[in-house]
Amino acid sequence: MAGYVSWEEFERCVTHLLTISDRLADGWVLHNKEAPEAAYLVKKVTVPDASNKTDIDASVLLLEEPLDDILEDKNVIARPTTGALTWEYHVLYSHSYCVPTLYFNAWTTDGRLLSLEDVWRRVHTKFQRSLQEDRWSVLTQQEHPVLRRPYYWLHPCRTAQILGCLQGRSPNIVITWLSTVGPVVGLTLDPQYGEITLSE
Amino acid sequence: MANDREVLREIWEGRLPVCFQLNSEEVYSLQAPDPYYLMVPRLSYFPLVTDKVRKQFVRYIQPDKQEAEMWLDFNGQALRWHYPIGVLFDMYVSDIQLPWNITVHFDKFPEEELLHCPCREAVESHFMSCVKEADVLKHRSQVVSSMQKKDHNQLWLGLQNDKFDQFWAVNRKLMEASGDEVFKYIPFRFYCGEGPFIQRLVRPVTEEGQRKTLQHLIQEVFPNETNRKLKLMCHCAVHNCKDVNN
Repeated sequence: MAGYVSWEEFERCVTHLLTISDRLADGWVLHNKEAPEAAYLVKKVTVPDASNKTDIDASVLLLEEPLDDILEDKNVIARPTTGALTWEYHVLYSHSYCVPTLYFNAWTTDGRLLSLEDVWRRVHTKFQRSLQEDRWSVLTQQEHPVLRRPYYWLHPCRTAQILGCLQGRSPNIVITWLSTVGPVVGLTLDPQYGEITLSE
Repeated sequence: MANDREVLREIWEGRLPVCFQLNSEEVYSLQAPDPYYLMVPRLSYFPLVTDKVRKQFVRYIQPDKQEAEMWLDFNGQALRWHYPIGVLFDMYVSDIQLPWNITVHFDKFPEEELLHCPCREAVESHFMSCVKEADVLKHRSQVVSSMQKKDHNQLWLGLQNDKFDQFWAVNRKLMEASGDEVFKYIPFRFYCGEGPFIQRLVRPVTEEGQRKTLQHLIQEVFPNETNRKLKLMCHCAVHNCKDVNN
């Protein structure tokens, strides 16, 4: 049916994605290979935090000092805001929805997990409006089906709809899907993935 | 299935006696608070029934922790609030004596293990995503997506406020076969210890057209295990059948 991806198709696309990733040294790795129909892709990246201005530690501002003094003191303000974030993305197959799904977590350099509010705030500005309409049914924390630990999760309810429009036009539906939904949460795919897929 | 009203009601009314105690290390006042006893619905979720527990204990902890997120543990195991209470009970049943003794914490939230539950919307969102996933399996999502927002609300409020009729007026539609076709697949999950949970696509009828029983399901998912070795707790929370089988 339109928009659905079988496990076999998912597996084929993932294997293909991995060979491209190896060629580009892009860092995608296959996890949980031994389990039947439960292997998933993982990639870890550390990037400068684009929207760290909102992260100024509230306690800093509560100090009973004039704000100017605090702002001039580079040590104070530098601590919480000079940040990089480490993102860990997981691409899993959902047997219920018959589509790929994206799980992820993000930590600051001192190891603090971003809160859901922090994650919502970092959703790409282009998607902020649709997120605000119904954020609790778009992006929430969820138990990772394999690791059984909390991860953030882009809800897959509309994925089949999106894939329905793309299927037949893409030689690798996982790559096409990932380059479509990844940017919502900071994951961009090198355009070479598309070029290599099309040239083969 | 949706016609077994009496059975559905019995299951809905399943309650568990729980004794909540504040973690002794977090007691800040001179005297530790008394334990707090509640009868909690098996089909509900802890964040929906523990407002009073929070209110009771929050006065006894460090003032700067009073806004902190409350979490629960049993025997040192953090309790996943996003599982129905009855599922959690069944997971640990071999170690539980009634009333079920649960420790209440406000400090050291185990972020590695538990989802955060900042508000009731988190519970609602989780519940609705389970309902949606089940409907994808049963009806390829046709029922949930044909429902209106007010139906979703009614389903949720029925559960939240423990209103059987309100809940079932909507849930009935989710449990009906569409036309002549029974469900496409049976929505289920097997939890085996702390490992990954097991989910498979299992059709509700055999190739001969016979309706499958729980026995069929188990044989399909665990073809190499005999029934004697498997200790099985079955709890279909949203879909209302509970059965214990040794």
